[in-house]
Amino acid sequence: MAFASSLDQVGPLTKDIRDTAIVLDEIVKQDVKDSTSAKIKTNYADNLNEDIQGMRIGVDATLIEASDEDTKKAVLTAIEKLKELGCTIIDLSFNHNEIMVAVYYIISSAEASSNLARFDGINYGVRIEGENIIDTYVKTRSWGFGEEVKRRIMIGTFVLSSGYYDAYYKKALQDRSLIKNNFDKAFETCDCILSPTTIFTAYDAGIKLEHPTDAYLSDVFTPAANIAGLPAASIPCGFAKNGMPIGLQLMANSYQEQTLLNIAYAYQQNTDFHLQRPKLTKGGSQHEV
Amino acid sequence: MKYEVVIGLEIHAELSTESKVFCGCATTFGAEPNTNVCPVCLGMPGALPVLNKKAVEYIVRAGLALNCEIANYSKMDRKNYFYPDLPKAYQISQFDLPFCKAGYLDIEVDGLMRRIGITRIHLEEDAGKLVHTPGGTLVDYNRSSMPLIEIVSEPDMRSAKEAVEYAKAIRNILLYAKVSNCKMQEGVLRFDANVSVRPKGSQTYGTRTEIKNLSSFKMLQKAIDYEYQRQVSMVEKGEEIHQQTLRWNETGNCIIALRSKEDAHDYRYFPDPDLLPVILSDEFIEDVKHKMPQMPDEKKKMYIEEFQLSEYDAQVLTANSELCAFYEEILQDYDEPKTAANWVNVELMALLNQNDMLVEELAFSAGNMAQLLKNIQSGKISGKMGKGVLSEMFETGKSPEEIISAKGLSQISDTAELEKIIDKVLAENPASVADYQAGKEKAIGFLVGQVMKATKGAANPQSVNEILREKLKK
Ligand SMILES: [Zn+2]
Repeated sequence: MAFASSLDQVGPLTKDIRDTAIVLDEIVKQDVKDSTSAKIKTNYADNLNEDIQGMRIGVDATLIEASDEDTKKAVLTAIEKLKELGCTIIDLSFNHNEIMVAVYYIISSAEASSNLARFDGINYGVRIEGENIIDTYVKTRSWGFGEEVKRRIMIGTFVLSSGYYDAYYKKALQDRSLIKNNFDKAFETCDCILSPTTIFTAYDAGIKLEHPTDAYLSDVFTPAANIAGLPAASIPCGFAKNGMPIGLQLMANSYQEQTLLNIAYAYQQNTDFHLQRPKLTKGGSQHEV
Repeated sequence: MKYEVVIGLEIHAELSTESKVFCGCATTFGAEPNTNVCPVCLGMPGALPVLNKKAVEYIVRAGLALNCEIANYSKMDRKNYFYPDLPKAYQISQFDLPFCKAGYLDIEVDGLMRRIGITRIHLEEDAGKLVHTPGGTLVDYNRSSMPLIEIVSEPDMRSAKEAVEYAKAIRNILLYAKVSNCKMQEGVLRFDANVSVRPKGSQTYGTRTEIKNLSSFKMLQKAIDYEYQRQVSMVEKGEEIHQQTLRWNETGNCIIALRSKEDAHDYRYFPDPDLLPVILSDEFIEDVKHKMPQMPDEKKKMYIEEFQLSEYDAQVLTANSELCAFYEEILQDYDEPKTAANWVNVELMALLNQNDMLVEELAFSAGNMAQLLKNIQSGKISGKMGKGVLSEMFETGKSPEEIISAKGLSQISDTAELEKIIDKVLAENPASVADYQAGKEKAIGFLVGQVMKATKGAANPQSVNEILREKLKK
């Protein structure tokens, strides 16, 4: 089921990078019934190479600074490890960090409002009969969707409405181009861009947020890949004091999945975070080896 | 005060591709409800559209035929609204970057040439069809995702007649370009008319109303005439005309308001993220141009220059693509284009007009017509007999061969047989023979008449005349 078609992407969730490469070799194959899938020939798994001498890793320090202490520490340690493996660090300074979340939520909500419109009780899924056709739509959709989904549909419908389109949706599309251009430029000087995956570690299960949109802000680092259409990977790079896992995000230029996989592969060959399991306990977690 | 009507048309034409515009379903008309459907055109979750290349080729062809600029870069957009016949709750259409724009079509109305501007032509998918039954409303999705083009004109027409002529000319062009079968009775061609009035000579436009979904030329004419009268009488009473969407009620011969501007839908158009922008290379466009079927102007020129047809004959034949196709099919089996044009434009036309029929409704084929002309060409039957055979073909659909042999028609051109009959006539009419030989030239006319009578008109009068003179010399 499509949520935000221009941003949605499938990706493998695996034990290590070799498994990722094996699965990716299959899922990148062209699907002729999907106009957005490309025709490329790959053999990522067999071409994995842990020699990453001379690779240029771009880092925007403000993104690391913005993260919590444990995350910051883990990511800085990972950077040191990559330097040891022969990589050079390139300083980047993006001017789009502040708008990333807004662009993502405007575009994704707009597309979701349209993608989810087909669940109207007519020829697929649940139907709650009403007095007339409009009433049937309203009852079906009010009953069938959850709170968060309804919120996204309302945001999406709003940003596409005449009178607000230019200020929100159109602006978001323009910013999307700007972000894409920024990355194009960045990849002229580096092979890979590194950041934390999230700004802080996971919430405790079942926690209620004061503002439903607060959770959106933890998405500062991840939407870039979807917005700019770039391959990205998140690999374990440590654990917080409470035992929660910390992710390291690596992003490469379009169609440069092999570079991305090689850097991640080299990192995993020389670390063991991916072999450790977080130990979940009540009110926090402990990790074990 | 004198008023002038200002009309712009939006013409929806279904393309004659074999499969739908975003899936592989067949486009055959009249299939059992919900049999030409698949997950894509039913809007099932997870199913994705794939643009039909043929449909793109066809719209480019239509654009070229209508003198449009073809866009190298265009995209598909979503038009969002809820309706039970729209399974995805959005229609894939084109908003700001259509395939074709800035074209025109020249038409002739009452002997005057008029150039009607074409703003744009865009590609979109059709919706399904609601079927109202006593037990409730049913939906047939066979038509869902059928390829449609929408041809939007400038507000360049100044009478209902002009609008009808323009619509007919568009139909003709689409038929020549072989992009749509334009079958009105199957709803393949539909019109929306934008109508406003203004005092004659005024340069500003009045408030317009839109009459939706007119499905025949007659309805188009009647609806515009009605709306013009309605608006003029409102203006004369000092009433304000409101921007409205209207529907023509054929049984009541009147107009019904569908919705006002305030209730207008907000379609929330945005680029369809499931489809990539369409980039048409100059080579692709050139290739379509190259493979373009011959258009009426080209045909007309060829008929005059190569077939030696008169300007009038060439005009009549090319003004109607079905008639033109029929004519060209005759020429596949028959090699005298001038004679064929004459028979089609005079004899066949007369029969069609008398019976208020269209050439595509004929009971016999162009091949039959060619056969008939060949019988005349070889002298087997006379031209006069041919006319009789044609009207019988028209009525019964029988082949000329059947009719000729059943009626014993055949022009006796076999000299030996004819001589026998002539000898008999001469023997029976000694007085006339004597008159002729005494110098009375007129007497030969009587003798020819007697021979024709004896052969029931099947003899070739020319040969009869020659043989008689020869025999009477002796
Ligand atoms: Zn289908």
